[in-house]
Amino acid sequence: MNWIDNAIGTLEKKIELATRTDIESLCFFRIVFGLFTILFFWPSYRWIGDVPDAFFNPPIFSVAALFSGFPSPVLFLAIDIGIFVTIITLTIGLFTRISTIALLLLILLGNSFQYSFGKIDHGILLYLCVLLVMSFKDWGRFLSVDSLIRRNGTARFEQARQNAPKTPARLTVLGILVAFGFFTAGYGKALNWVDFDLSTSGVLFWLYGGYFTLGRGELLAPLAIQLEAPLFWEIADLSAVLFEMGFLFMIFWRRSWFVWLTIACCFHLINCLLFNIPFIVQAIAYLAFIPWSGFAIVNRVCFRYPKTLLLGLFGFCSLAAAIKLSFSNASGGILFAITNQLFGSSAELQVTSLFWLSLVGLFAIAFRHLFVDEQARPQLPITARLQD
Amino acid sequence: MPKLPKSVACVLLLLILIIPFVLLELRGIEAYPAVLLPSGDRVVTTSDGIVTFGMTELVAVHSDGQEEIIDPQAFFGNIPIDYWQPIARRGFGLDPEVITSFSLGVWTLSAKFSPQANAQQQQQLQAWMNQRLEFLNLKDIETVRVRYPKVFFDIDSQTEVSREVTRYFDYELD
Repeated sequence: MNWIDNAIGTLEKKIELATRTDIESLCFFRIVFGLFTILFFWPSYRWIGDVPDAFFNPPIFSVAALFSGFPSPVLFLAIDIGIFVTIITLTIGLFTRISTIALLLLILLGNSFQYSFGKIDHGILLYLCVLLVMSFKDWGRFLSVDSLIRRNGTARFEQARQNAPKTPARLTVLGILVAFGFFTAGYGKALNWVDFDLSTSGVLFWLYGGYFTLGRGELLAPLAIQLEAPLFWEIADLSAVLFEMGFLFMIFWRRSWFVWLTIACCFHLINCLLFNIPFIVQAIAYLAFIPWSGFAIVNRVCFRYPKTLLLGLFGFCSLAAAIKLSFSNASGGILFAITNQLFGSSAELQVTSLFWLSLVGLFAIAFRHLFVDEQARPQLPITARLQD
Repeated sequence: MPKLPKSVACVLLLLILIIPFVLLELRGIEAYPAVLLPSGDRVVTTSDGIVTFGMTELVAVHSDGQEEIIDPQAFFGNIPIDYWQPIARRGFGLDPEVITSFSLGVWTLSAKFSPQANAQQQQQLQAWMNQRLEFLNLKDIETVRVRYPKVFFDIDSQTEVSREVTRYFDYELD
């Protein structure tokens, strides 16, 4: 079995090098994760309490399948309260690991019932993968209330951080989950879309189905509907398959991994513009791989003044909580709640498009940092102190 | 804690990932949670500038037989729009239960899907339907119809050339 272990070890090492980050980056990412959840996601399940039980059709292998109908509205209220608390504690880094696990379990439970209408949504799958992986990481070590309590003051904390070399952190499993997830999406398409037949189109299935049945007629969708270009749509079919299956191969090299993550952001931007499919929650999985601690503003401001940062975060979370409560049981982030209220529901797609565009820019900057600026600096001690 | 050999850990990870994927691909059964992203692998046909695709429509039928298209988003209210088609496809929960069997050599496992609404649930559904129609100011409605037309659409002129209703389902209101 030794040679199998060695072969697997070699592959694992390649994935590890391609997807690695450091603990400081993960700790800053925790804040990004919290803010992202508050602004764009913030799930709520209270609405399920008002739905007729006749619609109850749970996935056969799920927690909901143990029930004969939707449970009492009190359960959904409890889930919402739990999510409310854990999002805030996770953002400020209070009982970080417990908050991470609790948030994961609460969303899984809520989703089991939300997906009991005969359809499982996949838009937040990678969000849950991030929570699962982070449950085993120390992403509350810095920039958290936990760290202030543990280290008893910011001065010692900053000194300790500066004296210690950057501690690499593995994101191998998250990388594999992202790559495999995309593979499952691409597999079916590879079988049905790659037919080199200009009289069929898979991309147009999404376009027309969404436009005429789900009311997805915003942004560039009306223009796309008018486009009679079979060759273009065939190339689009092939590109989608190539992109989704490609993750499995690109995970072995750092550059290609980052290029593919950037392409993923472009892919979502196009989906949002043409098909009005936002899929914004996927972004959080891509953001996990950004080397945040390498950005000057993160390093010089956030890590130098962690107490001020945490106070600011606490203030923001309090304000966000008040806004969330005032929008009663609406599901979704507070930014969408506000823009929908002010500009109508189409504003959500515009905000999402801008978000994906910003992410393309962010990955371009990260790419420059990784492969241009990093040349001038000594490499991280990758294998020396891997933390898991 | 002793570390698992790499090969064992790898096999475990692969099993966790692959079993739900295989179940979905071979039996059409999707587990939750599982690492699966949406495939959406269906296609539409295009020929001579005419694209053919399927649609799902929600229609209110008045007592005089007149039909009125309903906006599903408005009708389903708090329920996210993505779920209205699966709900409608199951006849709003009135379709009979589906029982599927899996053969494992000498054993056969039976699993029940899509439970059929019992009398109490049907009553609750009726009240909900009436409430939603009232909310949309739709009066004198006898039937809520789910229609599945096949649409022939001219891309150049942006007009519907024709449509064929392939099937429909009627939900009769009291």
